[in-house]
Amino acid sequence: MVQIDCTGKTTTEINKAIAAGLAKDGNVVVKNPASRHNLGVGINHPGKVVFEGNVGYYCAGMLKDADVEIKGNCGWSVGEDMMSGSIVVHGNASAAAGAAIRGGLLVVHGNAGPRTGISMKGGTIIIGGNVDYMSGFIMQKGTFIICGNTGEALADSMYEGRVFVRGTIAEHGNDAVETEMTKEDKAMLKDLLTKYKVAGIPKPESFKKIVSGKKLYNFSMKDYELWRVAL
Amino acid sequence: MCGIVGFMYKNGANAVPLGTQLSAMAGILGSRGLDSTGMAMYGKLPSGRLVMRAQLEAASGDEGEGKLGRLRERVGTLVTVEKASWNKHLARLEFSGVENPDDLGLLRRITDAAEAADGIQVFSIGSAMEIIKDTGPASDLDVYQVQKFKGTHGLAHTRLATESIVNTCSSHPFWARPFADIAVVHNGQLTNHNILRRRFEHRGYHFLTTNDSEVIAVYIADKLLHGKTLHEALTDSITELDGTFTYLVATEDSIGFAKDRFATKPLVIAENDTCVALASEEVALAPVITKGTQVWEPTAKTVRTWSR
Amino acid sequence: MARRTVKKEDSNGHKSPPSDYVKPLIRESHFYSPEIIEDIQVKARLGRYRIRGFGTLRPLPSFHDLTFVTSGLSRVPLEGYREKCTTDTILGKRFAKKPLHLKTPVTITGMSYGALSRNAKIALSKAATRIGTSTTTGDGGMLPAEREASHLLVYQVLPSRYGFNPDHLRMANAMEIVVGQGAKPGTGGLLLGQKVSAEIANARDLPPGVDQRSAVRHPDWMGADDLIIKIEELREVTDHQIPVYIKLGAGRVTDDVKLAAKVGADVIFMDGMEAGTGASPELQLDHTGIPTMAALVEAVRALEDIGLRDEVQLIIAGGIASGADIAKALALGADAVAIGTAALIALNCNRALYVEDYEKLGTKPGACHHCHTGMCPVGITTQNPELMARLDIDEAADRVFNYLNALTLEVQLIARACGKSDIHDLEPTDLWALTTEASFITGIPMVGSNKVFGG
Repeated sequence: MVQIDCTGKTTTEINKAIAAGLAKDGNVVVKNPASRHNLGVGINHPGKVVFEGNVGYYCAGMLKDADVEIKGNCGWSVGEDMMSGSIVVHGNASAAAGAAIRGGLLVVHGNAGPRTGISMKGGTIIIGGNVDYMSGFIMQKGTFIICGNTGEALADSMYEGRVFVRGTIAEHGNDAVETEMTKEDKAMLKDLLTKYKVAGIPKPESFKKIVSGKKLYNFSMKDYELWRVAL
Repeated sequence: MCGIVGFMYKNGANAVPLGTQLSAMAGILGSRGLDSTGMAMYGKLPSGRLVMRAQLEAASGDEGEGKLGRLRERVGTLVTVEKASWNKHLARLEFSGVENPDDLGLLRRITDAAEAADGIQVFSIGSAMEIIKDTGPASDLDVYQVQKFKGTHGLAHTRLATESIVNTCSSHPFWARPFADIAVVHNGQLTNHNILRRRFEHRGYHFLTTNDSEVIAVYIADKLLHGKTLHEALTDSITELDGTFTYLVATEDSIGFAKDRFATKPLVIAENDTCVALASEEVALAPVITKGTQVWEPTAKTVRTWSR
Repeated sequence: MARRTVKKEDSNGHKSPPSDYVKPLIRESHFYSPEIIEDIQVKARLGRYRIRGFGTLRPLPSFHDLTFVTSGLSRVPLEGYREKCTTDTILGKRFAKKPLHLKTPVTITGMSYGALSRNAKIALSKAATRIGTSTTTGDGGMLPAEREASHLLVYQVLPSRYGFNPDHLRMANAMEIVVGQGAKPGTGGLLLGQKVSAEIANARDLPPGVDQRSAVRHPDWMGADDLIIKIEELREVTDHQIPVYIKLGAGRVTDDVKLAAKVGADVIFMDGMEAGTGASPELQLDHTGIPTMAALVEAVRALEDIGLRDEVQLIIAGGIASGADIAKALALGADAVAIGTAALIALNCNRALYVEDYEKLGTKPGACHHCHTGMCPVGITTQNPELMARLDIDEAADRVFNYLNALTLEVQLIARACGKSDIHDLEPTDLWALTTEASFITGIPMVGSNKVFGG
């Protein structure tokens, strides 16, 4: 195991040490991150990286291949543009967690903020607590699981993908509609929630499923009320 | 585009001066705001007293003393000037015998008299509040003895100028002219501030700058004048201000925040038995909050206040 | 005198008018012109704003209203065809470890693979490589064939993040954070369903055939204060090697340029109102943004104001068509220019081939701005394989190379005539204004009068 202490180091030094640690040993522990920004960005080597403490913005941004664990809170846009790998946040996640991810898995055990999962293009996001305003906005693909409540404009203008919500939905976003869960959905939920021990492992049946109503795919006068808000 | 800070001691005497706390937090947020730093600090003066902070520029000690003397004279026709001093870019005057510190007419006259000559610009008047601001990082304010300021609560701000110019009077905190003890720090950019400013000007308010954040200060003060509580005023602002904003307001005994409907400007809050601290980034809370204190981020369209 | 009222009849029985008859003129309203009437009536059927490609069709104040004053007796011209006049241009000197070295001040602007066909993208890359300049990816990610064919490739980081891949970012020679584009500042990208083919849809993670409306804001940063941190992230991921450009649609130029410089851009790309696009709501093309020439002078002034004029490079774009435009842009303070529409026209856009296909679109060569339809008669702004085949890559690359070469020679011609051995030594005093408007906008004095009307 390679241990890195952030104290007194520049961001570049820390990130280079993480990369070297993964290449050498595959197991890296980062101490005293102290809410600093841009830690672990651009990791593209298999292995495990654990941050012991709070991290700042963009932690594990553009992640590939590795498994990252954050034993604390994270700032904005954790795991943004992630391609593959996994990120588990034990604390709360602030705004735009998992923004524009294209693959991989993000788990936040605490609460997440506004615009969680914005512009998702693949991958899976699981939030143990609540999410805030405009989460899932313009979601394109992927799976978004929310064990708590949502804010307004949930999954507004989503193209594809599926959202599962257990708590109260403050407001469905434009063209985000409820639909029946499939057997496969339930199996997937059970699997993931059990594996990552999220939110006391709620039953799949307690979730609602939200998908795109597909009314915003191509402009149509029929749906002009919807377009006036969304266009 | 900036860093904002708020801090309030909940009770009694405190080992670490208020100014030290604010200075530490603002110093960490310097990366968000490279242009200027400012603080509004509240330390209640004895009854009947007011304190004024004003920008006083002078090339030499003699020139400064001259300007200070004339300032003292002009203002002295309206109130008793107990103390007057000047350091670097700022003057500090303390008045006594003020029966009603909320007399807007008097405060306006004092402000106008002060600004009548020598390029003086009044940054604040209050029975507790002093606004100290300058271009440069937080450490540039040490010359004004901010680290030693013992007070109850305050705001700080590090500025990255978006629309208006970079100079001291355009930096935050903004005093809600001419209301005693009301100040605002703001992160974001209002898009309807010119419309609002024009309306306020028609009603007799005067603005020092064309900065959108100054409009927020007057907006809140005006609401309070018309009987709204701070909480109500903050709530109204969510729908009545347009654009992006997370801002903090401080009054003589309270601090409050409002976060807009778009939730684009960050705010992290930590609270324990001793104090409450607010900042744009969690990292700025580290010097004032003990490990283990929970931090939280308010959701969109949220307001909250704390009072002593 | 009373008019005669008797009308004669001709052999067909039609009544002919009296001999002093004056045929009334058909007079069109200036305000409710045939154009405005058509616009209203179309919208009465469409129920939404009109969408099309290309740029604004309005006339605007431009570089045309400036002229160069060359050498005479007071200064010595260079031998136009013989003496050296260098065109080397370096972008990204401020922070990047590896700035871009271009052989010419003209670059190819970002146009997406999706808005353009594959053949068009590759042809542009080949031409750019030959002349020694850069191309730019667009709102759809990096096409591997473009990376292969382009010696210097600028990778756009857009609000949509379609196809965004950190590996591609690391393969790029520069990155361009797109805040807005000149054609439609303040809005996001647009690709109509007819161009979202299976391949494009796959690259962008979208359902095929959907009307793709990109986000206008980036998902993970909301203002200049967050952008500082985001730029640090992007530099970390690319090991601080490559320049960071920030692309702005010209609007609040002074504020935007100062912020872009303060948050750490190496290069600022300012895109003026004349710029084109693959598809946009029409009223945005015509009624948002400010002209390129105005944006340029404002940007230069903003950088001077904060003392970063010599540190941050400025690329200007929007309506650039000739070497004269480029030379004037350089003289006013740009370090480089970018072309989009002009490059497509060199490819074959609006060429009089397949004229019947232009007619099917309701247009004609020389007036076509139907990029949004995906039915480009010459195979440039289409995903239709049959149409795309009409653009031969190597022939098209030749044309664009020739055009880029012509532009470069034109700039040298003017520079030499002004006595400069380096095109970057062109400066405002080499210019005079032909109209009061141009003088007002640029601060360049008016010919004959020596007066400046603004600036």
